Amino acid sequence: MAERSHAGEPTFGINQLPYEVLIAIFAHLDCSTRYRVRRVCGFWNSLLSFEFPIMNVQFPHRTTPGQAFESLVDQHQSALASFTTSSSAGIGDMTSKPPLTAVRSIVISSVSANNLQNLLDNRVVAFLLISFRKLRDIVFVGGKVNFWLLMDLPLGMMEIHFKNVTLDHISSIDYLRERQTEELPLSFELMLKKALVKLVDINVPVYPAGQKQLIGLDIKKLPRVTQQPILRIIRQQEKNLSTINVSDVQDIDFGLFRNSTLRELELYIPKSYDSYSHWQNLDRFSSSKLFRT
Amino acid sequence: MSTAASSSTSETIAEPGLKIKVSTKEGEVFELDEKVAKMSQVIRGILEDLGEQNGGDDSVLPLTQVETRIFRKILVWLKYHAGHDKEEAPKAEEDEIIARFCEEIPEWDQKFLNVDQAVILEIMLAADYLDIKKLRGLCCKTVANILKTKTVEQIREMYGIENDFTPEEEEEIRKQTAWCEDEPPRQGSNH
Repeated sequence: MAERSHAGEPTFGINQLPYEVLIAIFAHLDCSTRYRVRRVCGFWNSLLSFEFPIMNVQFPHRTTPGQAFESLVDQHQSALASFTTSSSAGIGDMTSKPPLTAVRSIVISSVSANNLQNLLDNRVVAFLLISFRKLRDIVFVGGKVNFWLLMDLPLGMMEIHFKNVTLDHISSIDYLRERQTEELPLSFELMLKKALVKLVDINVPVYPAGQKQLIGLDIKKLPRVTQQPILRIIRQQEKNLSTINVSDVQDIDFGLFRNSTLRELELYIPKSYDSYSHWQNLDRFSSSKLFRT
Repeated sequence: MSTAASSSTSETIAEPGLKIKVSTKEGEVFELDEKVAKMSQVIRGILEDLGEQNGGDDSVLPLTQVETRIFRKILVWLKYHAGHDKEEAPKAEEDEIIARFCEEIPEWDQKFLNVDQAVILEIMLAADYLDIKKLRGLCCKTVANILKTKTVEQIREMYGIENDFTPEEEEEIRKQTAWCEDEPPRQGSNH
């Protein structure tokens, strides 16, 4: 690694840190950043492949649930074999590979419109949980997802990422929202929000004229308890509103907000307000525009 | 930062109580309150070992890996947090992971770590050496937040890391990580 110097003084380089510290940094990354920084250099790549092993699972066209399970077991077996035997092939291999139970990341990709929901039945989910105790994130690429799926996964510990996924039955989100308040722990809610934000990010809907204001009306109706997180989002994302207070909320013109801000704010609006059926809108959007391969 | 005053007060601490003396790499001696010193698990461990046999008032703990310039900064952090933190119960693993993702860096710490990249790394190294978990965690989070907003190229440039992949290796990784974008998500000035 190259040493840079400012004014004659050698700068401390990130790769001079003990590798445990680097790993601790990586542990704070979300999964897409963690994938991205693998490309930085060989050292980072080998650290990340060692500490956050990935398994790729492919479901080809018209996979049945039974086949999905078998293919998962197969891939698990072959991965197990390669983890224990190989130390020669591959880029920047460390001397020994971690046990496969340490897999942190699974990428499940489906080239066709398989309903991942059906493929990931109880048996598969149980298998995932038992075989991969340290699973930290699951990435779904392609296929259809229904949020019932998320109910079966131990979401509190995991990050779920969607890419080119069609959302099926948006109503399951409402179901989850209702349950959140009664039975589910707060952590679930937070994780769910994270998952939703990512999902929505993929779609990037642009709000039609007037609908920003409608969302604004909903937000102004929210009880005071939920206003703190909302204020925080606004302060962070809208530069000219970085100092607003609770008392200012009623005077804000939400029509001027960025789409991304509103998308985050929307997550705080209960469905029962219903002045703007944004989720249905999103559903329509995702089915029309998302499926490009 | 306006912390210069508090960082050089090794001789003028008024409060009674046990004082712990430590010396930095350069040999400069600092006198710390017991409470402040014990936020470092390493110092705490040594003190506990010494505790029974009474280490003597004049003993100085040598912290040979920490430069004075970095130690001054860490001292600022320790003093602030010794005064402001409540004793935290250790968290379950699950809560810790959630906290890692969902808790934001408190404002004071954000300001504290609003320094040169290289300095953050050095603080992190020292926090690791002294085993100050919270500070180490904050540094990790700060650096992670920076990484999140940068492209691979920008990261290389920022830390002076050379791209040591062959084109084939690079292609291989690209395949493995095909689903994720090159660019960090939004964060830009316009959407």
